[in-house]
Amino acid sequence: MQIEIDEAVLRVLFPAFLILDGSGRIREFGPTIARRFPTIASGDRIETHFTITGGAPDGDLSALVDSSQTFTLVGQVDEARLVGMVLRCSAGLLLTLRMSPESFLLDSSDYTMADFAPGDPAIHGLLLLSMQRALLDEQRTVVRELAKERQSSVDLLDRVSRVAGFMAHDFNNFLSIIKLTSDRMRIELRDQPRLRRMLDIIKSTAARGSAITRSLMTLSHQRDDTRILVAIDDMIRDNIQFFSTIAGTDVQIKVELAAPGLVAEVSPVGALNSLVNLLMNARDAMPEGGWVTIRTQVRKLPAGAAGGSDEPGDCISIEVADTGKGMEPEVLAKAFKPLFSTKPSGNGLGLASVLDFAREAGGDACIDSAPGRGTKVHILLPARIAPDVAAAHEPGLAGPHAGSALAPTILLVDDEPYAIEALAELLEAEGYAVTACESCAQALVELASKPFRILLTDIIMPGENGIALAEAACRMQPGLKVVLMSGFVPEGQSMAEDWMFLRKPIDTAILTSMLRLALDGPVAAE
Amino acid sequence: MYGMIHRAVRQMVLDTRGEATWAEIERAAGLGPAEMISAEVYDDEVTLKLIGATAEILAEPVDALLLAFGRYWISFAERGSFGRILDFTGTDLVSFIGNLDNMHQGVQAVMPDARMPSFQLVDATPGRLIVSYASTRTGLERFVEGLLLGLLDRFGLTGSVSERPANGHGRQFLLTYSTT
Ligand code: HEM
Repeated sequence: MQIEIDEAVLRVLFPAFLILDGSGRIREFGPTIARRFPTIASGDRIETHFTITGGAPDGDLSALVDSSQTFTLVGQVDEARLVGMVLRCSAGLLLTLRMSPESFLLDSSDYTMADFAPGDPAIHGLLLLSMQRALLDEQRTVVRELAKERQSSVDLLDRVSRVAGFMAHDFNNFLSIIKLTSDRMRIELRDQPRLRRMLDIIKSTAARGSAITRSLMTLSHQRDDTRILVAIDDMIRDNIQFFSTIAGTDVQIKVELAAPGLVAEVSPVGALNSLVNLLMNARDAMPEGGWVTIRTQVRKLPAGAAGGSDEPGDCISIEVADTGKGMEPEVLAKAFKPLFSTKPSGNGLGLASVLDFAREAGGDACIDSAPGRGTKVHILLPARIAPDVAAAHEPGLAGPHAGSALAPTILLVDDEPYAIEALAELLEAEGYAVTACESCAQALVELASKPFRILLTDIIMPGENGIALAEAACRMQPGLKVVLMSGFVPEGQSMAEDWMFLRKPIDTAILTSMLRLALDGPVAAE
Repeated sequence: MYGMIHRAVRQMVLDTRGEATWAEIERAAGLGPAEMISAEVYDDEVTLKLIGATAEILAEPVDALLLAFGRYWISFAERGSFGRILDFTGTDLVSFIGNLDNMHQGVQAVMPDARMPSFQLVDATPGRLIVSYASTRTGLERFVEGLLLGLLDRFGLTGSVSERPANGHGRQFLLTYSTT
């Protein structure tokens, strides 16, 4: 059968056609051939440019005429493959060729839609391939962007929390002054019960304020994620004031602690951060107010929990449950995803960081929520029995006053003049001889001029460090007792074993009993 | 719409106004990097919010912004991962527009939730094309005008694009350009 097709139609239907004459020379060719094989010219033998494979015996294409057998041409230069059938036409043989998928899959960079017949499935194949490559590329960029974004959120949080830490530290010092001054006034106002009651209010309000600043200071140690053993029940109890502040006035907090004596190896900052995140979510879920219950329990940790061992074991479950509006299933499904947030100003790091925290500690976190039923988030942490922490670290609760020394000498160092004034007066009323200094440099001058029984110094002072002062002082006066004061627990700072530590804001009763212990305790005997 | 559109808006603002302006737009629209993922589908409302906030912060009418954005989109696609697809679609204006539907259909295989437009060459004479545009969305005519201008740019042609009163199916655009 001979077929006659108008060349214009041929060019559209088979953009890669070839017409050979009776002697196997190329007479005409389609636009794709012209573009892909620029060296081909009319009159060339087909073998000069292509190897004929598959289907044609001994490369004889005329044997395939009128059969439905296909054959393949492989380019001599770039190995591009063309697949087609042979028809007879007036000039000789018409090869109805199309680019074989292998060619463009290997090298898709050079084709355009016009190289294919309309409706050729290769077009969609190629588009699919290019789109997949494009999206993969985009995905890589997006992942980098999200990681960068997350880092800058973390950096920002870090800066904010450090500033918050400095502010909390100063605030704590002011509260300390308020408490000390109230103690002094209480003595002065011995016979005025009404005013003394007012002072009690001031003092207890200051105490609540300082509980909150302590929580803030812990939180502000954002970068400190060392894991230590934390008694979870105690941690929650210590921060209740802070939690109530975060929950706001319309949300009531209920605490049910049932994991006494159990500790988990966690970052204290991470633990507090997680609870703060959950409380902020709970508060947002209850714009009209409601209840949040923080509950601890001992449970069995499922075997193979993320990051945990394959052995099932006891775990501490911290549950934060609210009576809010609950989550729709599609929100619930994404709730732990980083950067997912339903809040206009949310950064979507809250719940994700709770999950990170739990998993880093070898535990896990899960959510239970439904519309109208509130939300419960459970943090599961592998539990350990608390090692026997000696209560000896609470020297303020130690024995009675022995009254062994008359007017024992104290060198008092604090950069806050009001704090010095309040403390000095209080200590003098207790029978101590006080030398007050507002800087370490001044203290060193005093130390060089006369002996002291006790050094009572602040740790953090502008440009100076109370610990370094204490070390120098002990070298200058070997029998000297040291009591350090600070709002921060000086974790990781090297302190001599017999030094004592007094947390600010200072509780007068603890201060005086600690000083007595310093003078009368076994190490203090003179 | 797919996040690829949002990314293009962002890139346009970054290229022309810088990071601070983009940050302002993100804040005004209440969006962030989580809304900039090419292969995620966002509600059209999110896209509109982004366009609205951009127009507001750049102090431009929405229509002018859509036009500029359409034109920008072509150069954005050319430079980025989608350049290969543009190359594949056609090497001259007429065949490119003739293949647009085919191309969008192919793209849909990878982005199944896309609502694709349809473009047809209604009439083509040298230097003058009439292109019809049909869509399930409304209000994107200035964007289309910008895209067609972008295509003139892409093929090194100078000319203009205007919307014609439509007869029958969809909207119609007239492209006139010098062929020299
Ligand atoms: C690499 C090239 C391109 C890709 C990958 C692409 C992809 C897409 C996708 C995925 C959508 C759907 C958006 C959604 O519903 O979420 C879309 C819409 C659209 N595309 Fe393209 N496109 C490309 C080039 C073009 C060009 C050159 C034009 C020029 C006329 C164009 C005109 C449009 C229009 C007007 C819409 C809006 C849809 C509507 O009217 O509803 N596109 N495109």
